[in-house]
Amino acid sequence: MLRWRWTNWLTLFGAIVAATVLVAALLRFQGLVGSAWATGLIGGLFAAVWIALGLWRWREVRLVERAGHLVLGTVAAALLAGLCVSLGHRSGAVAVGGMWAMGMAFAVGLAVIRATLGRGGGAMSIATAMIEDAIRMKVALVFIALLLLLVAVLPSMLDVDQLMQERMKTFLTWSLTAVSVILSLLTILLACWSVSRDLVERQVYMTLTKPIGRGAYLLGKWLGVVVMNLLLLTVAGIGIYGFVLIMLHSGTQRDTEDLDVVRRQVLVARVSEEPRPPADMDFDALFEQRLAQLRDEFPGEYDTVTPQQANGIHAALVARWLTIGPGGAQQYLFSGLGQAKRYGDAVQLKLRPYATADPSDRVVYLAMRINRHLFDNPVLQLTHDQFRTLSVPADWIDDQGQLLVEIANLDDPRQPQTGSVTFMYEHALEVFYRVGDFGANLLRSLIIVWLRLAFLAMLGLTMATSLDFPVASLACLLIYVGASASVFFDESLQSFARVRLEDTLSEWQRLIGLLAMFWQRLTEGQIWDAMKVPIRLVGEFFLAFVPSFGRFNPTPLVAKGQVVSWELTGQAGLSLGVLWTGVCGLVGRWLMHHRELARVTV
Amino acid sequence: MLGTAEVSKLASADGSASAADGAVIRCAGLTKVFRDFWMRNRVRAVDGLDLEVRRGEVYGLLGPNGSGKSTTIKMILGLLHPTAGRVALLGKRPHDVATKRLVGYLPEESYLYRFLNARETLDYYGRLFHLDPRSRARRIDMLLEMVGLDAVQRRPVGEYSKGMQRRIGLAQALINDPQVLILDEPTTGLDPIGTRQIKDLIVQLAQRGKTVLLCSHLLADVEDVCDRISIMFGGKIRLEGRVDDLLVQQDMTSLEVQKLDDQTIHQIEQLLAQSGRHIERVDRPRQRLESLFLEIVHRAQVEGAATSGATAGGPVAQFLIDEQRGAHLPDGVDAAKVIEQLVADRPIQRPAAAPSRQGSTGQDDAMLEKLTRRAEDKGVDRNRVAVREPTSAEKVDRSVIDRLTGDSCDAQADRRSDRKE
Repeated sequence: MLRWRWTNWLTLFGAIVAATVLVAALLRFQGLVGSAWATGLIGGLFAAVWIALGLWRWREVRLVERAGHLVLGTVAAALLAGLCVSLGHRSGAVAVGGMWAMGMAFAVGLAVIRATLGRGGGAMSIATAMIEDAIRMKVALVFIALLLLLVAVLPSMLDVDQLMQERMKTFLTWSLTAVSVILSLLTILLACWSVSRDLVERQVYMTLTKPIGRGAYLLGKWLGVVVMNLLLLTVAGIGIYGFVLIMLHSGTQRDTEDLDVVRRQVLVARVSEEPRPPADMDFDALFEQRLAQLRDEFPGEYDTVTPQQANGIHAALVARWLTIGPGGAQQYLFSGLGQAKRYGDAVQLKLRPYATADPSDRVVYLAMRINRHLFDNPVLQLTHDQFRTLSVPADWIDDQGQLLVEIANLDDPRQPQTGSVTFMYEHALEVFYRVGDFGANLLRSLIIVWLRLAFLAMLGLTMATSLDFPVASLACLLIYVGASASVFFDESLQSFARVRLEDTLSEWQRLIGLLAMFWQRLTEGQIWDAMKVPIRLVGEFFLAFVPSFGRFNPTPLVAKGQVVSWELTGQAGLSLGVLWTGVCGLVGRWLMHHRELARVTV
Repeated sequence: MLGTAEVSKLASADGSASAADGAVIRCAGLTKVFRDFWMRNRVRAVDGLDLEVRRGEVYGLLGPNGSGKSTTIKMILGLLHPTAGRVALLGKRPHDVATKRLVGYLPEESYLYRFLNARETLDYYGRLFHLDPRSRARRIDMLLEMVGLDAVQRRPVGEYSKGMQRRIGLAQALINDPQVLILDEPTTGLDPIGTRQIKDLIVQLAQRGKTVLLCSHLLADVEDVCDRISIMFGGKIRLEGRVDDLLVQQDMTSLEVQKLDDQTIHQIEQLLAQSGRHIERVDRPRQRLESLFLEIVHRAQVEGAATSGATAGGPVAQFLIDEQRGAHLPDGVDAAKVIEQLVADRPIQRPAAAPSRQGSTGQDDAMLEKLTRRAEDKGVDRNRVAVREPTSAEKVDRSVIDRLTGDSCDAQADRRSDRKE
């Protein structure tokens, strides 16, 4: 007699499905299409009822319970997607489908993690409990749902009138930013909450009286958070990649050129090259020439050239080289393009001409010759202070991997409209070429985000070893904001209280200069101006103990189709993953080891 | 799992001899002062405490609230750092991770992860001991059955009552089959069944060579199970010694027998008068409320009444018995049945060779047998006859006993025939 175990039920379910498919296929093979459909329908209905009954009957079994959740989620997603389609919101159906797919990927990933970490003891046991905690904690679940929702809904929120390349850049920027911010907040909350809860609610009494060291306890917690982050980043990465493909294939025929730009300039991994002066242009000679002129004009001032003066002369020479007068021309050499030539794809020359006279029609007329090749249209009409990307065939690159770009300013010097044209501003003249694919680029960017999260996880755990949850989480948030905007804060602090010629000073010279400035303003009675100095010093002291996330921010690179190199990923690994996380972990271990776990209980 | 040999090896690894010489826990001049933010002494919780718990004994730490019991335990476990003095657990410092493989700890409350269910909770703690999955699953099954939570093992422990949480707390303390069990207020929040079960369990574990440090302010619990006790107050031990030495009134004897009529009592009084003694008090013993409660619950269970909470609990987890059976239990004794008997309020049927923790001898058993035989013949419930104080066989006046029990019937018959004559 058959014992009604859940395994029997599952086996029979498989048998019903297999029999239905087999019979329907046989009928279809016999040409009985109607019967095949009817068989499929009846068998499908029977299988649905069977699975529903079984899921209800054996809902106490953990495996069946989880399968039930997946089935319920799938049915709900199908109903919602069907509703969207029936209401004419195709993008809504795509978003629901995406959310479902990411949800399923999350469930599968979670099962894999449980199976992997569930085998080990010690720190892995702590990690598993940490993950279960995160999954079942409602706040964490809200964050996870928000993450999946944002990634899925973003494509449908973009302006369809925009060019695909702009939409794609916007989607990549916002989705990666959202993933990074949401996971950072989740990581800080989880890490701080987990340890401080254990200490306040005294779970440590029962955990740390078992054969596990306090360092291993922290390591386990950290492992749980980073594995959780790995899963969520993987799911988010799959979601982003999937939606990129969906967006790409949703373009119409009339968007061919736009889609081509997306493929060549956004969904790639490119590197950029800045121009150098051509070989026949001797900067040293020009420097000496200019110095001689200055000595003549300002006798005695340039007899002994200070580093500041030398830098000034050099900057002026570079600016002159990057500026083309009316009717004039300049040469710019881009080298190291051998890889681009081998790849065979066209390279992009990106220009942002800035007309000194600011023409009324904002048009700048240029002529360009690249390695002696002229464009089909020799007169280029570019917009003043706007980027323009030109495609240069790879076979124009010479055997040394160089492109010599000659640019002529076609403005008539006798009737000047635009005056000089300059490329002296940042990124005004660059060559981009492809070195890899979008998928690998996205992967490296997610790895960097993960390394940032790994640091934040350790920071949260360390803070929570000695601070209560609200204080620890706020301190972590402060450091997170400081790390994310460290470049901005650094520049702001410098402009808040600036020492003269600061860029040319060493750290010590700058400190002495600041202290001198503080004393001088104090003696002059400018109290507020004087107080800016200590404020700046406190700010800089804080920033010294904060890693620079700005250095390892892959989002703008991915959105612009620029390569997130393995070199950058490795640097992030060493800096964030090893150095900052390691130091933080050691501090956390020391604090945990020396603190008393119990509170006053007399 | 480490056994006694491993414990000794572990203890001798750092040259310390305290575990090897029988002292499992040793505190010397232990002091704990809690200070405030300004480092001013706020509370002197433990004050120069000297303590030694020997292998295989059940040691009770008694004291009112705030006497420093829990603080002492927390220092022994490394949860608090002593202000002064030294602590050694199995000859090692409290922070030693390897030592903790041999220790089970039940804190004053069960601090569990509320989101985990009972099985996951035990699995979590089992994994911290690096138990292999198969052995872990086996132990979890047995422990859940033992503490009566096998029917509700899939519910998150956050939904458990306090008593159920205590039970799962007890189960986690036993998952590693510990050599040293430290129990802080173990019966707090438990129903009488659970309380009884824990006390019986402690006795059984001690019989198997485990060391138990019991901290409680419930005097009855400590009295029932402890070999030695110390009474703390103000962070100091005020009194220490063996329970028997401290509690037994050496100059008094009490007997419990089937109901006696006034005439028999008078006869006894006359008999005692011959040796210059007299009866101090005559009363009728009452059934203990605990026994009555257990009987009612047992009856309800037999009738199949449903409950959403913990059941009465099952036999002692086999792994707690298996490895020590040969050393501590005579053949033919099923330890699992012992606890069932206790829960069912039946006396333990000790085999002749089984050593008694109360120190009764073979002669005591023979005397008990003799005392009860006649009563049994007359349809008397054997369970109602018990000797309260272990008494040396040599001190018993057998003629008196014979008259009062079996042989007294013949004697009464003789006296009746004498009166007729």
